Amino acid sequence: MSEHKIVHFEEHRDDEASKLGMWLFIFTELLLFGGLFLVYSIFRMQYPTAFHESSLELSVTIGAVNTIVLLFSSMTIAMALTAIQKNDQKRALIFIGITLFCAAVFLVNKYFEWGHKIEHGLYPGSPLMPLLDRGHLLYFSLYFFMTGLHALHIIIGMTLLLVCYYKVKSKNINSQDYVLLENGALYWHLVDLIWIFLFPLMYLIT
Amino acid sequence: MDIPVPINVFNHLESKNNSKSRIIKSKYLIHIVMANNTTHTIEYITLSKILVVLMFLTFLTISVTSIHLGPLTVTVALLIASLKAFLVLSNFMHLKYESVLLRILVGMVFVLFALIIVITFIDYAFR
Repeated sequence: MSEHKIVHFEEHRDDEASKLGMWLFIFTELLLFGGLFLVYSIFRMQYPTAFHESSLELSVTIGAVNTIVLLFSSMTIAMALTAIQKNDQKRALIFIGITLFCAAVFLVNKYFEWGHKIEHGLYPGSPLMPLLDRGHLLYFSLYFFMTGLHALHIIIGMTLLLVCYYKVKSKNINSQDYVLLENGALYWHLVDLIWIFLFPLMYLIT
Repeated sequence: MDIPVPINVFNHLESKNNSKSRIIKSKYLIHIVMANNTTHTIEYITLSKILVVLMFLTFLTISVTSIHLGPLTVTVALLIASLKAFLVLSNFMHLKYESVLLRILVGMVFVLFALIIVITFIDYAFR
């Protein structure tokens, strides 16, 4: 039975299962945003002109820049995973760093975008909002709620990737054990995935 | 993963054994220790190419919106977004190289969401 014992000296880790767990969590996130997209599409169908007029208030340029920034950061975090698989700690740290920087750029853009709206008195609970007609009110409420929830996910993703950064630095994440970085990257791609749909639906209504 | 397997299953498994699993024999049980990191490594150049396609599709969405296609615009925009989502899921999220089980599960979530959308819209259309 000596060989039987050797097996138990092996580290008991199940990366496949932790990845499956992450995916199950991602499914709940997709359905959370899915519900909001459903509400959005019903009201857009009912108030097409109000939604179009309201969307003109948004800057397509800022939206497009944020789309490119997020797509780029999605690629860099995928590259960080490639680097760690290749046992290249230095590059992995650089790629996670670039991803975090892109996330910060996204949030700064969002700050200016929201700031512009708030200056014009457009924010949830403002005295101006109840004066809008139903279609405009629904658009702006959904806009703030959906992009706000998305921005919250950006902040959560940044926290997760920051943890990954320090774990890569301390070699707790290495070429033999990188499932945490893999799951962190999956979360970051989810954030990107949601934005891929938010951008044309919020900014590009004709 | 460490799976104890009765000895009489051994011959069957040995023929299917891939190089990433190790088989350890003990007196009565065979332990199959599967390699933990089975993820495929995607090269930097492949990831960059995917990004170029994603960027192109983004510009395509914006330019499609500026030419007036009427009700077709939103359909085209959503089709392009779905294509982008597919590229992100299969390449950046490594789904291309994941198990069939996971790929089916992900597909089912999107089917479920499509059903919810269709049923709700049918409800609204016949009110």
